[in-house]
Amino acid sequence: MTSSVEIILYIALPVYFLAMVLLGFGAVVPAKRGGRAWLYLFIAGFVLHTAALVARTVVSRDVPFTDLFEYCLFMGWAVGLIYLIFFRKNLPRPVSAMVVLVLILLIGLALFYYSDPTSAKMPALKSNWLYVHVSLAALGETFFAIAFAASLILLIKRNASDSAYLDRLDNVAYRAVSMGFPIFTAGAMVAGAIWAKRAWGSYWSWDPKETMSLVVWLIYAIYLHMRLVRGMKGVPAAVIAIIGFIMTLLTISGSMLLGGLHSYG
Amino acid sequence: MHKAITGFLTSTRAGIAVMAILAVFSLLGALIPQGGTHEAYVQFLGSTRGNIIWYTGLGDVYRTPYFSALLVLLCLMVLACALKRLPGQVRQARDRKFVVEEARLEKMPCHATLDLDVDAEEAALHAAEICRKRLYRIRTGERGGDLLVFASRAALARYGSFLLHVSFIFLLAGGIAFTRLGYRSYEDVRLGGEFGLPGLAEAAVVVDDFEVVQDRNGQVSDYVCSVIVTEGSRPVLVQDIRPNHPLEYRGREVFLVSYEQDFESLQGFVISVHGSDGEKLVPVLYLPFGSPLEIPGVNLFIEAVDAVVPYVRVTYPAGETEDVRLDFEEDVYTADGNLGFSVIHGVPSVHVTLEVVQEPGEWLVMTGLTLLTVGSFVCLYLSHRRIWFILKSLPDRKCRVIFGGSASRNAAAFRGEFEHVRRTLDELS
Repeated sequence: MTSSVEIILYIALPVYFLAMVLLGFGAVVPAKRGGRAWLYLFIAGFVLHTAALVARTVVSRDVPFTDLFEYCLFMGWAVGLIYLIFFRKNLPRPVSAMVVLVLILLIGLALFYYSDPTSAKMPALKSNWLYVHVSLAALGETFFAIAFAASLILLIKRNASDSAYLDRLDNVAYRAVSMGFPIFTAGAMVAGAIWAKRAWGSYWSWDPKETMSLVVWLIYAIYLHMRLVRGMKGVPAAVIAIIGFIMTLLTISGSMLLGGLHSYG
Repeated sequence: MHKAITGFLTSTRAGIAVMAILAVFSLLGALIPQGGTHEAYVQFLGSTRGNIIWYTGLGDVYRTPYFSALLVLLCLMVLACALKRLPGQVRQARDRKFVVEEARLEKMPCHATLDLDVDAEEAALHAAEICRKRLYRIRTGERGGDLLVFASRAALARYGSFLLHVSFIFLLAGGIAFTRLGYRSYEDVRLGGEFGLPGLAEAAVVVDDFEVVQDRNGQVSDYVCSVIVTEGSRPVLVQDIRPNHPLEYRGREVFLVSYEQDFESLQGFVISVHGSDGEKLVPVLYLPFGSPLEIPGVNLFIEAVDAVVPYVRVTYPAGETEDVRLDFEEDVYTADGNLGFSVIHGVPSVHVTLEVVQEPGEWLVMTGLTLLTVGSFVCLYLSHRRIWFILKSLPDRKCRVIFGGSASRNAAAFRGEFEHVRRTLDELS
């Protein structure tokens, strides 16, 4: 039977989709009137998304990031929130459309991994470190999603004559990575290591998900080094940011395929 | 030679190459099941791929010498970079000299000149106040009749990358300390069994009890292992170990890793007890071996005995005992026929796997993790911003303000802030 959370998400999806279509259309044909319709739709989708998150929290009586379904749901919601707070006014429309597409993909991934909210939380997850580790890791990855959207558009429009526009995209990607990297470091790597020590007796076990998170961290560390020390910009930086986010998505869903200590999500 | 080695170790390009190679091998290690045998790789992946994985060590990549060498090389590069850049970072962070030439101000990323309708002293006070409100630290001075104001904020930002780089040295040192001086073992213990703690000759841990907690849907919600720590067979500590709650005793930690039910051997029975007329006296009773239990409402004690042939020992009020052999198929009775027993099922014994760890390098790792967090935030969230003002007196109690500034990062935000300062000062004109 379809749950209330799923129903809300199935309503939110077309609303987000319509916002994305309007954003994409507006990028091609600038509209003088009704130019903000996409924003109202996006906010409507975000409200529904929030309602789904709250409903899940109420039903499961726990924070909504204890398994893969909830993680994707929460991360998608965080993408919407971060976009509205930090990036809405600065992002060109195609990038905004790409952000909404990433958000839709995350909801799709969440629905793919839907889980029963009444199932008992694994004993290993009963720790306060869960809240720190998972929420910060998801938040960090949210910024990487924004960087991915800007970088992908930069890559698509790399031959455009407007260099200021490309610089703007490049700056958005850099800003997002530089905001997300410390949060990801603190959440995924540091809090994860401390919790692993508490739960499994070892800070680092070379578990597949741990290792893939390290790979993600290394990719963005390379991005920042190349950018800050060697002044790398434009297409090469965009390619690294795109590879980083693809690796992030593989890390999120990889534990289901590769097993290991993180096999629950 | 020395120069070449230093050049290589401090090269950003070489450092990035090492990071990229590490990322590739780490990814391969995550994708290829680790710890398999040569035969298993050949069987599942075919002869060519299986042999490649086996002979290149990719089946246990994190323990290969080349992977360890890469990690050590990366740490050496990180250390070399940190040390190379430290003097410059310290110099810039401590650079509080407010004497700058006008020509230098004009070369700064943000600079402006304003003529104001107030005297230089008032303008200097005003400039200092604007910056102080934005959390700048102010220094003032004078040079050849000109007033000087120097505003600086978040000088700590200069140390961000140093902290970040140094964190790796602590993490590596922690890892080496554990490898050389630490201890890790796995103990597979049955209930009632015990094992020693490393380096504590007299100390032992006795596994006293184990319980699997289930929720109302029958799903496992928790598992708890009760242990007793003894010193010279004297109990000194009783504690429950559960996931995320290890036992900590004199620098040693004991973690509950897993449990397994052993259906080949039992630790007791679940039985029901009834009277001669078949009436249930006790519908369900868990009867562990070696623990006499009183049957409610009947002045009798019964005890299950772990033997090749299972039986119940009944102790009557007068003290005499009777052994009743249990049968899994049908009810059995005492000799007088007044008490009957039905076996509902046998309770399997439990093995628990406990991990014993002694980690002397823990403080190194924790220091490294703290520096990693602080360093990354300081490096990427803080920006060392500096603004220099030169205020020249003009006739009629007027003045000219020449000012310029720079930021260690986020130049766009600094431009906005500088513009705010310029506009606020300009209100005096």
